[in-house]
Amino acid sequence: MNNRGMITAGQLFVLLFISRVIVTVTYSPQLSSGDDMWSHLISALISFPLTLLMLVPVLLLRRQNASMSVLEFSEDVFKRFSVIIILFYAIYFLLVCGYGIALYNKFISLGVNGETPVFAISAAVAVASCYGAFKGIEAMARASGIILVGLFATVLLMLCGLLPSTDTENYRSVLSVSGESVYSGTVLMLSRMSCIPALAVLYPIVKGNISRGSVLWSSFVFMTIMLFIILVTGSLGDYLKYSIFPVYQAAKTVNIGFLQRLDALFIGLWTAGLFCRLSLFMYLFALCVGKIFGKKASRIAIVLGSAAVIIFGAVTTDMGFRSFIFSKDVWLWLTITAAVIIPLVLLIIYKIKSVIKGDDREGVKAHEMQ
Amino acid sequence: MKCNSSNISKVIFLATAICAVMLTFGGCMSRSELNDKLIIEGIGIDKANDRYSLTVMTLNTESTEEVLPPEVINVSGKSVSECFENISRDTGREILLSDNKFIIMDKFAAEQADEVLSYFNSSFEARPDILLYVSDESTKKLLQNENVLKSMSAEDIAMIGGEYSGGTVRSCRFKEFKASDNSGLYDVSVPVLTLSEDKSRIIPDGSALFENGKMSGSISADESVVLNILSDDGDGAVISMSDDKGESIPVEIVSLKSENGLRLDGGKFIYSENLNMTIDIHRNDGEALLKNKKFLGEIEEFLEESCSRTANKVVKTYDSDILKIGKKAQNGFYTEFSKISDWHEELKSVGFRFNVSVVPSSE
Repeated sequence: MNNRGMITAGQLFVLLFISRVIVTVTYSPQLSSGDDMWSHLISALISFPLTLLMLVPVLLLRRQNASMSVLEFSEDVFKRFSVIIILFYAIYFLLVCGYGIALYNKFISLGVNGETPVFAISAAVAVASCYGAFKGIEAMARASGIILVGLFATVLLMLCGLLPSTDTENYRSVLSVSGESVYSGTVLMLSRMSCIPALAVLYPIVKGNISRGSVLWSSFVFMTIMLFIILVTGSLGDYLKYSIFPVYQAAKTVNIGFLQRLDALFIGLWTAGLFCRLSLFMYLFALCVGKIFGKKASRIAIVLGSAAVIIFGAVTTDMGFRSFIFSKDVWLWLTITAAVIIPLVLLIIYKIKSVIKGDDREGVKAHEMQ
Repeated sequence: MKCNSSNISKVIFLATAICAVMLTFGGCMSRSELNDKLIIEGIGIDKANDRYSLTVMTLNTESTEEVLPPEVINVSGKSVSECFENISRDTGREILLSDNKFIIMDKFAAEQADEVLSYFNSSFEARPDILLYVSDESTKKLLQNENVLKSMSAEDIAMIGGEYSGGTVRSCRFKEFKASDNSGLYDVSVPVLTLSEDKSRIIPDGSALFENGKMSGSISADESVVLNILSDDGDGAVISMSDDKGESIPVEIVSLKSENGLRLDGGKFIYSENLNMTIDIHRNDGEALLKNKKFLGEIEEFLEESCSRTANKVVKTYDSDILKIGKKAQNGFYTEFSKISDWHEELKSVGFRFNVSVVPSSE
């Protein structure tokens, strides 16, 4: 694996934006107990400030020492026992890759149902991501810039294709939205904020204003989510009620003059986005392994991790949306632990230690003066 | 030297990887030639005694130099799925549904449309923008008619509804039908097709009304025009009135603007619609008639009465909420609406108020 490089805040947040939005386009109402998309508009409005809150512990930790990631803080605070925390992050990042592949497999088998075996497609994406992880964060950041252009074009195409067929009658009154749906949607959105733990590990190699970048990143993520919800609901309404992947279903209906049946194009772009996500989290997994076992081990970890992800994807292909891998409650707790609880605990202990060290130094000075 | 050999090995490795991907992911191994596929352009479904008869219009690929009339194949089976399997088995070709433009159901199939069309819900190839039609007679007779095959392509048949019908019928796409079926709050109307008098073309002839995904009735061509007007889709429509001598006066609606509203009056929903039309009369004395205020008043009265009669027939006789009153009620009066257990029952007590105002196109 290449040495840590330096990337700009813009590059990092483009990478994180693609990583997050890709999960959104493979959104399925079955992941949140079968709610309809419209109620998740309120969920998005609630999730946005909560996401900003979730960012606070990581940003405060960075303020203590910008050259130390959450892994280094745990080494400083917990010494030998930091292995537990680093292992937790390693497993978390590997599970995020597994989730991505499992969801993508579901998307290909239930939404697209092409002739190519699902296993072959997901294996190809995982192998490509393995290569991306080897090349390092700078290469991933550069690739994400190109993919962002494609993603932007896709969103624009969908906007132009779906806007003319939007019917305001498809937008239901706020009163008809159930509290349970809003809660489910909020839990789902927050459980997918795996980019915050990624930020906690990556910020030492980022130059630029991370706080501003974080706010802009979450704003754009939720604006994109809300745009998809408004467009898809407005144009297709109740047609989507039993659709497994509404955004893809809406993409199938995009018609702009001679530009029709562009779903294959969307699939290609979304696969590219998944490549970004898997590469990033595979890289982070290897970074964690490298912290414990050394740099050579991190290179082997990428290969073994990719193999584990491919096997995981194959095993979970037949699992339903109610299985543990897709459980939003499990993911919410994992993400909150990685993004909020651990950084907060480290921050508190580091602060206490700094205060104690500061008192001890003052005590020594006073003794010397005497 | 070391640097060069490492670059060369990198190039070789990448070139091998690219070739491997191109050869394996290009789909060359499992390629399927166009001749091996049966490209379906139109489907007709008849149902009788729990058996389905499927008539498909397929692209004729025998000649690449001229456009040949489509091939029509008819099979029967216990389900739509079985019919497709039978077609595939009989022809030895793989069915390609992605180019299908329309589905016509006969009246018996339309009465169970939600069940009949369920095959297309789960088919990955079926597009949500397929146009739906109901046939007055057997779809097999309609689609196998030689004169029709000579004069009309699948695309011509698909474009019979909507703006191509001159405002007489509204087109209905599969996604609209499925949305109404999923919602349970509103319904759709589907154009009815029949053969022209000279049996050489397929033409629209009224509309079939649906309730909860099943056909509940049909209305005539004139009533269909009025329904179009009520759905703010009446541009280009022609209404026939009679003069004192009993001669027909064709009144063309040049442009139409409608505003509708729903209010609650003593626990009862009242649906009202204001229709502002610009009209033209294509007759020798048309200009004189358009300057006659009394005649314009008669047109307004006639249209108001037609709108009321058609709306009552559609909603109360056939329980079909084409005007999406249920949706409007849910959005505007959510609290009251949530107390209603069966909207289609409640629909029978909805009151209607129509106000028509016409302006000659010359003004």
